[in-house]
Amino acid sequence: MKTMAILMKLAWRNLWRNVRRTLITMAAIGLGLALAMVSIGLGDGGHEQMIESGVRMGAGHITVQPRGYQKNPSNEKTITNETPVLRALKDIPQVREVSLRIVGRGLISSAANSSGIAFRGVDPTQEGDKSLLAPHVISGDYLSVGDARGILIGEKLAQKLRVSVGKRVVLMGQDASKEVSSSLFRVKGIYKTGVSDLDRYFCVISLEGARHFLGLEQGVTQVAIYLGSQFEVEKVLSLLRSRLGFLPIEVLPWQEVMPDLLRFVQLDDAGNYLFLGIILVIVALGILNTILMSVLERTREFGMMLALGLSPCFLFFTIMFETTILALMSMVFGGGLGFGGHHYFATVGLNLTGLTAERLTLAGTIISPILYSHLRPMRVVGLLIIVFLVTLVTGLYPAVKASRLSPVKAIYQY
Amino acid sequence: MRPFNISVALFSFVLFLVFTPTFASEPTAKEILDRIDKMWRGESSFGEITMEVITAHWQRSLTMDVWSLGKEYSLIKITLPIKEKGVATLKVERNMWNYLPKINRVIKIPSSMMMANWMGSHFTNDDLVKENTFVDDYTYRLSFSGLRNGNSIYEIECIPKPEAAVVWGKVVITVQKEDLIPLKELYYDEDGKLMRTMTFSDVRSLGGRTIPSVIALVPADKPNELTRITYNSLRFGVDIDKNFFSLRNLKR
Amino acid sequence: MIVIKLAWRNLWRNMRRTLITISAMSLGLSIMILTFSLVEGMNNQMVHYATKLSAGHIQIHKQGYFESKDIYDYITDSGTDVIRAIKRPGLSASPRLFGNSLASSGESSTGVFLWGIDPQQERRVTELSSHLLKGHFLTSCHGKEVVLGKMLAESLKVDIGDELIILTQAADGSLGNDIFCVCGVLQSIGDEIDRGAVIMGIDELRELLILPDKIHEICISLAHPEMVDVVKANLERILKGRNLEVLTWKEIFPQMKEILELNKVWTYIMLLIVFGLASLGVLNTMLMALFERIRELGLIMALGLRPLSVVCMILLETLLLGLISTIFGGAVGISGSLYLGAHGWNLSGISEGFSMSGVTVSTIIYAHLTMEGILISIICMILVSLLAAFYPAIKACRLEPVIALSTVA
Repeated sequence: MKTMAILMKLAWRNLWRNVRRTLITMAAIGLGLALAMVSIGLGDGGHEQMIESGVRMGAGHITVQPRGYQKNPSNEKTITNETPVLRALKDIPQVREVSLRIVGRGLISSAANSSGIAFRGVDPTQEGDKSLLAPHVISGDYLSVGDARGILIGEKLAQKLRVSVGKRVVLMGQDASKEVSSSLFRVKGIYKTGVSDLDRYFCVISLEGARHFLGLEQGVTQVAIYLGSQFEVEKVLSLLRSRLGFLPIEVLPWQEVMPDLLRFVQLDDAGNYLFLGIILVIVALGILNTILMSVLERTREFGMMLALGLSPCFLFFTIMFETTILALMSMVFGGGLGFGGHHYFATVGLNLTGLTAERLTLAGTIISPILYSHLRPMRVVGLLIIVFLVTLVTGLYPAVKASRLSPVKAIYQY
Repeated sequence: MRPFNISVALFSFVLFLVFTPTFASEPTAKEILDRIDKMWRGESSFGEITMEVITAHWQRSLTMDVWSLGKEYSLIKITLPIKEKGVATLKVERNMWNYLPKINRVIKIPSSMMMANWMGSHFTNDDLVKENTFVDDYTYRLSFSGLRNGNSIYEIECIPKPEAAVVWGKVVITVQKEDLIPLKELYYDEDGKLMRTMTFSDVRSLGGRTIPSVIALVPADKPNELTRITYNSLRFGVDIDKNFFSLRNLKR
Repeated sequence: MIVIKLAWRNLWRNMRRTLITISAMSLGLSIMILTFSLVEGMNNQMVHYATKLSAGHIQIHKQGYFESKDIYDYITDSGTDVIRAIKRPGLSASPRLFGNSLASSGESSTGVFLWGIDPQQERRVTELSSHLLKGHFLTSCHGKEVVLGKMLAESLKVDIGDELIILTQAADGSLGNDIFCVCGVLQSIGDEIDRGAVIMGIDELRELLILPDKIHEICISLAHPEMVDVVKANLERILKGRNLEVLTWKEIFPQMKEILELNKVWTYIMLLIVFGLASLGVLNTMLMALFERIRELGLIMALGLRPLSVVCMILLETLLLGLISTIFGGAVGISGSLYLGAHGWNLSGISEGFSMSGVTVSTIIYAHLTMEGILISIICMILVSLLAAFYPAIKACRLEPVIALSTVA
C-alpha cells in the first residue's frame, strides 16, 4: 500500500511537471465531455418536449378508446361507460391527470361559408386540456363551465367562415346512430398556434356540447391519461391492461397512437449517438497523442527508475495513475462546464425562433422553437463512465510501452 | 355555396295557402305562421317544376317531378334535359340519397357534402334536408304593417332562437296583406349584412290555390347569379304515404 | 525553400506523433465530409420526394390558380402552346387537370380531389407511376381505371378491382358521374395525396368535368434541379404577358425550404465542434513538438534564422500535416460518401418512415457528395489547425537563442 501511495504521489507530480500540456489535455477532454453533456441534454430535452407536446395535442401518454378505434375511427364508436376505466385509474400513483374526450369529424358552417373540421369535446375545467390552446387564444376566451354551446376555433377557420367571437356556427355531421345531426354553437374564442393544420381544422367544444351533438346520453370517445413522465408508460400500461382487459376497449401507449412521432424520435436519437461517438473518438485520439508524448519524452527518466529497481509493474501503475488522475480532473472540469451549460439551457433554453418563419410541424406535433435541456442522471453517469473508460484505455498503450522499456537502452535515448 | 332553405321556400308557399283572409283583428306574426304550419303537416303534394340556374360560368334549365309528404319526405326526379333524365334525390328525414341512372347506382350523401350545391343550384343539400326549421327555430314579430311601394304589406321579422341550429342572424319576410302571398324573404348574417334575397312572383292558380309560381334566389355577393324555380303544375292531397319514399322508388 | 525542407523533415522525425495527429485530423475531415454528404443526401431526398414524386420542380398555372383552385381558372388548348414555348433540353413537362368530387364505394363516401394526367408524359416528369403499393398504374389518358391514395383506399375500404363511383359538378353545371375501377393504390407520398387523391386519365376527367382541351397545370421536372430558380426566371420571361404563374417547389412547399435551411445550420454547428476539438489536438501536438525541439530551435535561431522564418516553419509543418490529412481523410471521406451514395444507408432498423411537414421521409439515406462539402471541410480543417499552431509558432519565434540553447529537454 505504501508503494501505491508513493506511486500516486509520483503520478501527481508528473502531471504537473508540464503544466501547459496537462491543462490543454484536460481542456480537450473536459470540453469534449461538456459538449457531450450539453448535446445529450438538449437532445433529450428536445425529444421530451416534443413527446410532451405531442401527447398533449394527441391523446395522452396512454389512451383508452373503443376497440378498433385506432384503425377505423368514426363518430359512432364510443366507450359507453367510462366509470370502470376511471376506477381502475384511481389508485395508480403515476397518473397525473385524466382527461375525458369526445372526438369526431364534422362540417362547420356559418352564414358565409362552410368547412370540414375535426372537433374535440373536453371538460372546460380540465387544466391540462386548457393548457393546450388557452395560451394561444387571441380573441374571446377559452371555454367556460356551463356554456355547452361554446366553440373554440382557429384563426384561419374563423377567417374562412368570416365569423368573430359570439357569432353562430352550425356543426353538422354523423351522430352516434349514424344519422345526420346538426347543432348550434357560438364562437367562444379564436386561437392562433401558427400551425395551419390546427388553425384550419381543429375545434374545441365542451363534453356537454359534444354529447348533445352526437346524441349521446353518456360515454366518451377517449380517456387520455397523462403520467408524471414518459418513462412510466410501460409500467402503467401493463397494469391498466390487466385491469381493463375484459372491456371492449383498447389501451394504447402514445407510441402506437402517434407512430410518426416515435419514429422521428428514434431517428434523431440515433443521430445523436452518432455525434457523441464522433466526439469521443476525436477526444480519444487527442489524449493518446498527449499521453504517448509525455511517456516517450520521459524515456530516460523511466529508464533510470527501472535501472534503480522500480519494477515494470509499478511503472505501469504509475502511468496508469497519471492517466486516471488526469481523467478524473478532466471529468470534474468537463462535468462542471457541462452542468453549467446544461443549467443555462435548462433555464434559459436554446432559442431557435427566427430560424424559421412558420411554426414547423414534425410528425404531427408542433416543434417548440425554444429547446430546454434535460439531463437524466442515468445518462450522465453513463457518459462519465464511457469517457473515463476511454481515457483509461487510451492510456494503456503508452503505459505498457513504458513498462517494457529496457533500462539500458532507455538511458541512452536522447 | 350558400345555404338556402328550400323548405322555407316550399313551405312559404303554404304561407298564404289555406289562408282565409278572415281574421277578426290583426293577426300576430306567430299566428300567421302557426296556422300555416298546422296546414303544412301531413300535406302531400306532387308537382312539376322547372329550375333555371344562372352562374358566372354557365346557365342551365332543369325540369323535374317533385313528390313530398310534409317536410320530412321528398322525392325529386329530373325529367329534362335528356342527359340528366332519371337522376333523382330522395330525402327521408335528415338523410339524403342520389340515384344516378347513367351508372345505375345509389349514393348516400355524407354529411361532409351537405353544404355542396344541389344539382348545381344555389340550394345546398342541407336546405333540402332541413325540416321543421322555420316555426320551431325562430321567434317572430310583426315589424311593419302598412303601405310600401304601392303594396299593402305585412313585414315579419324572424330572429333565430338561441339554441336553433341556424346560421342566419335574421330573416325578414314580406307578405301581401290582402291574400298573404309572400313577396320577399331576406336573409341576413349576425352582423346585419344581407346574404341572400328570395323573391316570389307570378301569382296564379295551382292545384286549386292561388299562389306565386316563381321563386327566385339571388346571392347578395354575386348579384348576377340566380336560381329560379317555376312551378308548372301542382296537386295536393296526393295518395302517397311514407313508404312511397323508398330507395326502390328512387331508382324507378 | 530551406524552411520548407526543414518543416518537412521535422514532421517525420517523430513518426508516431505525426501519425497520430494525422489520424486525428484525417478522421475529423472524413467525418465532416461524410456528414455533409449525408445531410445533403437527406435534403435531396426530401426535395426529391416532394418534387419528383408528385409535384414536379416547377408548376405553371393560370395566374391565381394556386390560391383559388377554381376549376374555371384553366389553361386552354391543352396547354400545347405553352408547352411548345417552354420546350428545351433537360426539361420535361406534363399536363394535368384537377377537380373536386364525391367518391363512393359501397357504404362509404367521402370528398376527394381528382387528378387527370397523361400517363406517358407523366412518366417522364414524376415517379408516381413507380410508387405503387399494389396494383398497376394507369395506361392511357382514357379508360375507367383509377389510382387511389393510400389512406383514401383504406378509409373507403376499397381494393384492386373494386368499383368507385365519382359524382361531381361539371363545368357546365350538370351532374358529372361515372363508375371507375380501382387499378392501383399508391404508397405513402404526402398527407394530401394519401388522404384524398383519385388519379385518372386526363381525357377521362375532361369528359367528366366537361372541360374539353383544358388543363389546370403544367408540371415540370428538371434534369438539373439545382437550376430551378434560374429556369423559373427564364420561363417567366418567355411566358410574359400570357397571364400565367410560374411556381417553384420552394413556393409550393415553403415549410420544406425551412427544414432544409435548418439542416444546414446543424451541419455547420457540427463542423465547428468537430474541428474545434481536433484543433485542440493540433495545439497540443505542436506545443509538445516545440518544447522537444527547444534547443534545436535555439540553435538555428542563433545561426541566423529569422524569427519570421521560424513562425513560417512551424506553420508550414502544420500546413503539411493538414495536406497529408487532406489526402487521407479526403480519400476516406470521399470514398465513404460515394459508397453510401451508391448503396445508401439503411436506417429501417432504427425507424420506419415518418412525415415531416406533410412529406414522407424514407428510411434509406443516400449520401450526396458535393464540391461544396469537400472544400468547406478541407478549408476549415486547415484554417483551424493553422490557427491552433499560431500560439506555438509565436512562442517559438520569441525564444531567446541563448536561453533556448541551454534548456535541458
